Amino acid sequence: MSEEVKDICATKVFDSVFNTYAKDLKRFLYFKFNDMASAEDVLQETFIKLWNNCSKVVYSKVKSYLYTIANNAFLDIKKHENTVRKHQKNFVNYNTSESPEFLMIEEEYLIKVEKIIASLSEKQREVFLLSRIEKKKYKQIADELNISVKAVEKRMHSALVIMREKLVRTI
Amino acid sequence: MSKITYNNENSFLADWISDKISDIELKEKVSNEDFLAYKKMRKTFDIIQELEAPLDNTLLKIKEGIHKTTVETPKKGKVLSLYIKRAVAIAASFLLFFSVYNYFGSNDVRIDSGFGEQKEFALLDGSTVILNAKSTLTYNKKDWESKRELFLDGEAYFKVTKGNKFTVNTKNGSVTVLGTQFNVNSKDGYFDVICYEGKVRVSDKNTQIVSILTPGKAVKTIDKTQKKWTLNDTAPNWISGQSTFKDVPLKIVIDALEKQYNITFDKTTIDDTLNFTGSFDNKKLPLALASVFKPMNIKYQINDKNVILSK
Repeated sequence: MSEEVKDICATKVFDSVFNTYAKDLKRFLYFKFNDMASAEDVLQETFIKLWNNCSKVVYSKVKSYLYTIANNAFLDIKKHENTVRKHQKNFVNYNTSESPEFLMIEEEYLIKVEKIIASLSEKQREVFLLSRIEKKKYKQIADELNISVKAVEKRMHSALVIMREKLVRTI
Repeated sequence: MSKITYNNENSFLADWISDKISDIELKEKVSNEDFLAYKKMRKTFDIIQELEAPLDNTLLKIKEGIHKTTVETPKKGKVLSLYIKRAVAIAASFLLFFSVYNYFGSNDVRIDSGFGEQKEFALLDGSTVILNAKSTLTYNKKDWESKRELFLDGEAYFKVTKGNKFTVNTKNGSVTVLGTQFNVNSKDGYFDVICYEGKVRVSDKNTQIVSILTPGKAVKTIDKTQKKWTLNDTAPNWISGQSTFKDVPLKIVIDALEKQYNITFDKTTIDDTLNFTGSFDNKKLPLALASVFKPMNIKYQINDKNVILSK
């Protein structure tokens, strides 16, 4: 046999499938639901299904299998939500994401922001990513980069101003 | 076009995005258009952050879910044994973090209450349950229609709708009823069932005694000795913010205080087998400590989350 046959039922293979596709799948689901918690739930459900059917899924088709399962789960949930809404209009205490601050972020907008982050100067990007993505405090960032907290704050501020300007220009 | 320039003195956007200044303060500094744009950017950053965050926890939960489904349908053979061991470890560590976790791909429902927390919820048949502090209730959604059966660790009050047999299993024994209201308190070495309405059948594992309770009747088993008692209440006092005890060893009362207030007791120098009758407040710790220990002539000293008891 020249081609290596990978068995998804093996823990190692399963984990590597997860590590390869989970992030993109979560992103795909997030933009379907516009809700992080639902995306996370369906992501888990999808991989549990993959495990339960691991002997039936061919390794080379695993990506399309995952997206099909995830998409079907999304459609099922939406269908169920519509039915529930019809029948339980009086049912209170339903968590929805529609707070007064609810703001939909479209995928194109998010991609644009990601591109702009990538185009920041090295110094600004560094501070921005440590603060917004790694959720570090300015003090921690200052210690890590060996600069003053004031300098961190200035870089953050200017990064935001530049991003705002670039967004205006590209819209 | 944006009006903000890179004035060297400015860092208010950095202050705003780290919550040092509020939206209102930002609004005063920028145009409304800019304000909305920054809000949208900020939300986008948060989404990117969540999408980019490592998925280690997700993988752990998936394995937990895999364990759950394989326990239900054990047909996968040897490959799973590894997973099961890991999943048990994972399950144990996760109990700490999730109060309500509805397992995907499984029909087991588990409800936990935290320290000092009471949870009221409805079961699938419309029966209601109020769970007292630091207790756990589990049941199987799928089997529910054929048998109404739950597992309880801790204390809970049940209002059961009419229907087929309704059983609460505990480490100390089981309680079976037809449409009724009753309270079950099951802890290590302590089993207490009170009937408020209808009829309740109690089967005690420790003493092997089976009793039928009618309203106002109760049984209590402490260290393998069962006592019958009566009361006039229509619902447990802990539901209305008080915990009440009648001839109960002090260690059970201390355990209830620990669960209610998330504190620990140093009780090495006192006799915790003495019986206590009375109640304590579920909201104010100083009041609760005074009402339990003053009548017992026990001194207490509060050090943050630890209370030292002495004669």
